[in-house]
Amino acid sequence: MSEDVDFDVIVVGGGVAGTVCAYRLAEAGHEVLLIERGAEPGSKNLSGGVFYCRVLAEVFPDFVDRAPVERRITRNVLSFLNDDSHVNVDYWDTRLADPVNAVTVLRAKLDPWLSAECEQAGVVVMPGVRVDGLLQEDGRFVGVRAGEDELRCHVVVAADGVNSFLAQAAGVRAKEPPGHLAVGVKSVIGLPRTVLEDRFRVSGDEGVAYAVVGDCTQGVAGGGFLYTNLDSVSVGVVLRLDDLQAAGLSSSDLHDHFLAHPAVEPLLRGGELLEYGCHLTIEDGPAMAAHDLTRPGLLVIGDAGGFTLNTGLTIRGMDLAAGSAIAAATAASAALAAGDFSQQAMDGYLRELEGSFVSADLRTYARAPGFLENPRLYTGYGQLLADVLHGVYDHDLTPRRHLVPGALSALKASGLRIDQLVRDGWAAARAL
Amino acid sequence: MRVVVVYKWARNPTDALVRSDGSIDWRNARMTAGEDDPAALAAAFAIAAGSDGEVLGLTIGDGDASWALARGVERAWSVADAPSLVDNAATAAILAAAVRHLGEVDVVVIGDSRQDAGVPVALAGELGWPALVGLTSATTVDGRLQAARKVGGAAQTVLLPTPAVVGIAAEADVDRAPGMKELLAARKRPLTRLSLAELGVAPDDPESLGCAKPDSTPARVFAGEPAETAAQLVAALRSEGVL
Amino acid sequence: MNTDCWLLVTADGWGGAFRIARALPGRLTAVVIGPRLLAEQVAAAGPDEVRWTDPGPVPAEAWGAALAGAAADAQPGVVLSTTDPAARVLLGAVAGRMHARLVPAAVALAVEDDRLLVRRAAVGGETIETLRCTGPVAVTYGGDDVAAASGAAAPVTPVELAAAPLAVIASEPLAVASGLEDADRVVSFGRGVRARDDVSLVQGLAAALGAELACSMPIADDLGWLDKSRYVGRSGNQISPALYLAVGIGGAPQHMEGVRGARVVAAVNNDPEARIFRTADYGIVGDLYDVVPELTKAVRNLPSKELEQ
Ligand SMILES: Cc1cc2nc3c(=O)[nH]c(=O)nc-3n(C[C@H](O)[C@H](O)[C@H](O)COP(=O)(O)OP(=O)(O)OC[C@H]3O[C@@H](n4cnc5c(N)ncnc54)[C@H](O)[C@@H]3O)c2cc1C
Ligand SMILES: Cc1cc2nc3c(=O)[nH]c(=O)nc-3n(C[C@H](O)[C@H](O)[C@H](O)COP(=O)(O)OP(=O)(O)OC[C@H]3O[C@@H](n4cnc5c(N)ncnc54)[C@H](O)[C@@H]3O)c2cc1C
Ligand SMILES: Nc1ncnc2c1ncn2[C@@H]1O[C@H](COP(=O)(O)O)[C@@H](O)[C@H]1O
Repeated sequence: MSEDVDFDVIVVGGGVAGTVCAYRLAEAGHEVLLIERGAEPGSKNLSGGVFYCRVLAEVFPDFVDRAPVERRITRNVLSFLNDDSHVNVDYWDTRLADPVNAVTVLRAKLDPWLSAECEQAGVVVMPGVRVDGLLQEDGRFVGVRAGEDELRCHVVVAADGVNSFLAQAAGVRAKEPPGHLAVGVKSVIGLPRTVLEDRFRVSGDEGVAYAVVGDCTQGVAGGGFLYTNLDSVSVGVVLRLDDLQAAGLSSSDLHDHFLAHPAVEPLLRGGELLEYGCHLTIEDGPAMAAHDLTRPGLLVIGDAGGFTLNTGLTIRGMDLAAGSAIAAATAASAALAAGDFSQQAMDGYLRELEGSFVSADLRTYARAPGFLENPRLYTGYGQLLADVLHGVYDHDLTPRRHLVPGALSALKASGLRIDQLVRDGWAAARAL
Repeated sequence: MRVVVVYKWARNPTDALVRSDGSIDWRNARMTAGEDDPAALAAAFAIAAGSDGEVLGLTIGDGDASWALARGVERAWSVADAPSLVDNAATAAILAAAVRHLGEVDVVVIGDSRQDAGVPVALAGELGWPALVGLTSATTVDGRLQAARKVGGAAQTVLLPTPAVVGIAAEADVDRAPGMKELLAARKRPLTRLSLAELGVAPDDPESLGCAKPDSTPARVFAGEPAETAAQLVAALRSEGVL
Repeated sequence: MNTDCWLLVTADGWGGAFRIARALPGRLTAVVIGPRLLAEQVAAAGPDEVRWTDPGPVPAEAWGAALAGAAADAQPGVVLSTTDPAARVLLGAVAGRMHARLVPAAVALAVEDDRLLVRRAAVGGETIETLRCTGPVAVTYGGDDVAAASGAAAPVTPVELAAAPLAVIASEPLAVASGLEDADRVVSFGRGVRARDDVSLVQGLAAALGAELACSMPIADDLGWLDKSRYVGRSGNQISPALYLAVGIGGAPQHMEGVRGARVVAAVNNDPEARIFRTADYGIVGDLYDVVPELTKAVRNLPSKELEQ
């Protein structure tokens, strides 16, 4: 470390992205400061809670066994929810547990663990400080400012989450249009472990994740989720900001409506509210991440860079946060070794990303946000599915029809058109 | 003067929730310094400043002992394995043993907290030192310790002999978040961990038979149309005889 | 178990502590360090004896060590004080010398199976824990203030004890808001009032009620909408009106400490979860800007005699 800096790297933001990046860099022998505005790591963070954690294997080889994970997800339920009916696609597969693919986590436990791992690795973790600005010299970012104090470094990593004030101040991003953003409202409801395991038909350390579309959002683009933790469930809604504003509905009302829905309420009955929160998330990650991610001396990672995929069935932010953090750490390490913090050196991060699953997945899902804008997804299809199945199971003594004619008449009654159906089906196949 | 400031880093009792069976749910309670501790720290510095003295930090429990180090205290001690106790005399006995361990001490400054109103006074009792609590500030003038308090409609200044214990009750939230430089400096300042065994104390608590909600009646709360609720409240206050 | 009790008194407000001490079967000794009048008032409540020391201008705390010595000789099983700072210092001195336990915020004492049960308030009085103690126990009283009972008057025995060198070197009267201390009704407002101009709304209600106007600390300290002598709470005024009506006040424990002695506490707050509803007797959940005008109207419509009382 040269004379004129306090640290090699200053990472701003102690979420998944910031902690993983800081850990990596400290392991590589660099002097790293991690600044988090919350008094305790994780105190300000919120995720629905399914972490597709394979990406962490290279950082923490024994992550699933050591980290405070809740349950390993082996069952995924896709639920189309209507006023008074629902149709579920219930996919259970023990292969999902070997190797472990996805786990539920509570950020209030995960973030402190990640932060403690950082300390262990030699990162100076500084909670309770909010960074107010970046130091810039000759077009290069050279440190951070908080209150009256300034600290200098070779590389600043902005991992300050979806609103990334730092990325905006650095001119990397403009203020995000509401169409790129969504708001999540979530509760954690405590249930005795045995009650939870009986109710959700899970055992041992296995768990289930529900993705819900339809009535749960009262027509607002978005969806509901329900994930099992060890002795609690994380449940809530994610709503696209522009659509929510246009509909004039309140996100907390929609959250309450979802939790009180007759198909959901019995799953939570008797539970104790442990946590409730509201947080912005990213609706259109691919559009956001199309912004720049680097400046001389500056790397932008995680939600700050726009790395969240909302596929409609899953929200993937934490794994992409970790993926971008690993790429940034590699690039910053190389820059430190070369003593070169120019734009070109920082762009090593982009090249790392290019070769990783992060970029590949962002490309794959580039059409998902457009597809998810389709209002029929939140209004028509759930009812159509229920009507088809109603025709099959409702034996009202009228002559039975084959499934296809029954479905066609249900479609007719639904007001949806067959060309729309075909088009949406095709779009879904391409987008998801 | 050699001043010891005793501070507390513990779960914030105002965040604790009481369940319907009277048991206490601490899960949402975050760690904070005692509410009166920032004011106690300010008094400790004032006493030291008036006498070219130094301020030593002392805390107990396994929490983050760096609170005082980040606020200008140069050295701190923590009795890391001290449990959180209901018996204020037991807590005070641990603190007294630690104060003796620090050698020559002229003044112990401590937050005079509402929840544990017995800790500062029992600490003075254990040490056998005179004490004043419920003070708003303290300082040294001409080498002599003096303290300010409000008593019966008057603001008093009281002169104390040393060694003494002074308990400060904060009048407002005067805590100031330390800056990055102070936080980094705090990491370099020595923090000595002490153990109960080293101090030769073995504290315990009386047996608890459990908690229960008090049998006071809950508030009667009216909700609805303003005119209606206003009428309901006025009627209720009249039947109470206060209108 | 020895349930002989010492009650340490240095100032008014000992009624509640006296009551729980008297509930014990042992001999009750009141130790008063204060003016003669105080000693006589305590004696009239009916302890078994009163030991009285006149401190003159010296802080009562100066007698801590001497009292500790006396207690070590007398060996009471229970020592009790109010939360008054001076009484607490004496309690700590005695507890230290006797190696007694010290339990804060006791609301009741009882003897069961020859052991002392101490019920103590926790989490600001929202729950009561029962502790079973052996050996000498010191407690501070943490329940409501109650008026002193009257019993068979006890003799007052003057006691000379040695004092530590504590001295009051200056004393200045604090500014007090006229009328607030002994007002029968107080209407108080907090940050729920959004602008200085809106204070008149609350003022109107106070006028209709014939009440004094008060506020929470931020209103006086940070905003300066009322004089600092008018805020209620730990750091401000401690008042005991018959009615305390809090408008747009959250109910922080530091604020509520100022109205422990109020007979009826009522609150208007638009947040049904507001802390103040946990301690108030009556509440209205609603926007004060809607509710206060209606309250004012409802009060004005009362037969005018009733407010004169
Ligand atoms: C309701 C909801 C459900 C979700 N569900 C899932 C899910 O099931 N699975 C999934 O993988 N993802 C999910 N996500 C997305 C996921 O939460 C994010 O993608 C992820 O948290 C991003 O991590 P990060 O480290 O980039 O940002 P964050 O976790 O937001 O961390 C940013 C940190 O920076 C700190 N910070 C900000 N500004 C400053 C400053 N100026 N100075 C100092 N510190 C600062 C913040 O306090 C915060 O700790 C969900 C999001 C929401 C809102
Ligand atoms: C050491 C210390 C000592 C202190 N001493 C004191 C003291 O002596 N006295 C004191 O008062 N404070 C004291 N405080 C401060 C105390 O902790 C609180 O911060 C303060 O009392 C809050 O004031 P408030 O209730 O007016 O404001 P808030 O806590 O902001 O409450 C405002 C309330 O108004 C409600 N509200 C908002 N809009 C409306 C509306 N339109 N209609 C109806 N209701 C509405 C809100 O729901 C909220 O509950 C002290 C603090 C410390 C740390
Ligand atoms: N566990 C503790 N550790 C350190 N100091 C304590 C502890 N408990 C009490 N104290 C001190 O005693 C004062 C009153 O305690 P409390 O009411 O618990 O906040 C605090 O302000 C501390 O200075």
